Amino acid sequence: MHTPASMTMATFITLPIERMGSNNTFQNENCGSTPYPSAILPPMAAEQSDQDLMLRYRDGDAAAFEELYARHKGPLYRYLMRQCGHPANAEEIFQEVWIRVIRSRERYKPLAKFSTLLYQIARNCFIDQVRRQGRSAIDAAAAVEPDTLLAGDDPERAASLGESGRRLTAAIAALPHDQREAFLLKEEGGFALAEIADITGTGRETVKSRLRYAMRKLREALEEENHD
Amino acid sequence: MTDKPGNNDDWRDDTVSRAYGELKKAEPSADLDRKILAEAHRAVATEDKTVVRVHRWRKWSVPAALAATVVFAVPLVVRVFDNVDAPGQVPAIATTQTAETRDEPVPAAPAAGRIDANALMDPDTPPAGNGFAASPPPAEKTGESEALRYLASVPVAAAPVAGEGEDRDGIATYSRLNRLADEGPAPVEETMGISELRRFKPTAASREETATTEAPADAPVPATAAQLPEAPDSLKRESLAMEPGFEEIVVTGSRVSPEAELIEIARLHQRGRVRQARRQLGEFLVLHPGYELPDYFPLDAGDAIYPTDASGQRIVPEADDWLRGIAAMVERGDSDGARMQLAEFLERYPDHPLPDDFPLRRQDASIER
Repeated sequence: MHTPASMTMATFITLPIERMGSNNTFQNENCGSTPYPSAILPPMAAEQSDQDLMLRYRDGDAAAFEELYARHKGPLYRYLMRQCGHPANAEEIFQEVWIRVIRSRERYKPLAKFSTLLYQIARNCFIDQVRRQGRSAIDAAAAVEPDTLLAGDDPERAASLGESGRRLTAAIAALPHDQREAFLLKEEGGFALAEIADITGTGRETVKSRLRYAMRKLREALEEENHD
Repeated sequence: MTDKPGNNDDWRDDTVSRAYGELKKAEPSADLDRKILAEAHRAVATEDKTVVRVHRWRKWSVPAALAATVVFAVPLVVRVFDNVDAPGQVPAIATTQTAETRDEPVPAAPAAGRIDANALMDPDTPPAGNGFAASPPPAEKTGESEALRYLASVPVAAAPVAGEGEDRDGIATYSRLNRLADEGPAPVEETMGISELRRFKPTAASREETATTEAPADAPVPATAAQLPEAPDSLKRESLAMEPGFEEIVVTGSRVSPEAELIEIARLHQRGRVRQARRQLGEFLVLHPGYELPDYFPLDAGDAIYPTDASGQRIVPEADDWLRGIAAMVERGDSDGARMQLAEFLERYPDHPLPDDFPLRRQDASIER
């Protein structure tokens, strides 16, 4: 059993960078092993709560999962929606991600932020879909209507969006995949550079560079709206 | 984790982030929420029993394996020791050790564990340094070999006697022989060797040999020609009468098939009575020249020690029988052996004509033995 004391200690453990495939990892069944972030995790109460919820769910508390799901379902869904470009594909991956979380709960150990693991699973599932469907899975994000990206399948919500929202959504969809991914992880997941680097398997400076390019393009899109 | 803002932090833009924040409205559908939550509840409802079962098994797997090992191993060890201590039960290693001190020492194998058959053709001329004179008395006479009594009483698939080097198939040989013995056409008395069924009339040499070898004290006195009419009808008399001094071979008891004789010889070999087996094989081949020994037979024809007459001359088969045997060897493809046999034949019967349909000619005889 994991006591709160042990959880606190675990949050200060420097986690290995390399991928781990042993049983004590939070392993994706079809997407490969989940890497732990090479970061010293701060003892943030919210993250501890995420881990605590997951531990409770691992021990059989379904209500803990409901709370955990409520916290992350929106950001994760939007991340996938803007990555995939199609609500149907996004929902399919979204469901698969949570199913994997459910099925691998017995191997969960609070060695990393739950959100990091969650988005790592999501990214792996998206990569699986790209492999299945080819490049079109990535290009679909640029071809989809902004309203769909903004509001999903809700027409009333789409109607309420302004022109700036449409421009920004279109600019996000037009970003190269790596830049879009870095931007969405930052904005939806709330991750820092190092965490994004861990999730995407790249360097911290690479992530910063991608974000810099992405921000510049999105800023230009917003400025064009003001000029118009 | 936070990234401190600095001069080179154009990778972040509050305007863009604020604008994007207003777009964070898309949510998964309620139907999708229900599916996922239902799956989560279902997994929790069914997980406990499975998990506990796996953990229990893993927890007890090692102790269970150890307990199973003890349960199976201890009775096995106890049974093995019980067999060793039980009367009449002799472990294979004891058999081997006893057999090495048997009455028939085995000449040193020249190569590859085989005995030089040519050197053994004359039983009275032991190979140099093979310790024939120093051989201990037969175990049957001393009564010290429990192993041999066990093997004599129970036709088991025993390990071949160490040091013989003639065994071809080891255990399989004796197993097959024992099986053949059980299915053989003519039963042979277990305690009787083939020499007790067919015995040479004692001569000076053979009497001396008999006194020093395996013949039991109460063996039947070899019948002479004069005594034969008094023998039962089942007695069969065969006279070779080929050499001066040798009178006859008398076969007592029921006539046994060649296969049964070979089985008996193999049993002698199995019991460690190698020299006796080789002698009996020589007698067998005199009566059945050219007989094809089975593959599983532990001796070769070259291992046979042929009987000799009073003058030390080897007793050979009758000419016609011998020629038939040589022809049979040619027919089954043993042309080399046939040529050597023909050379021996011509040496002993130099004037005997070869039949017209004989498969070999005189010049085919090979003197290489």
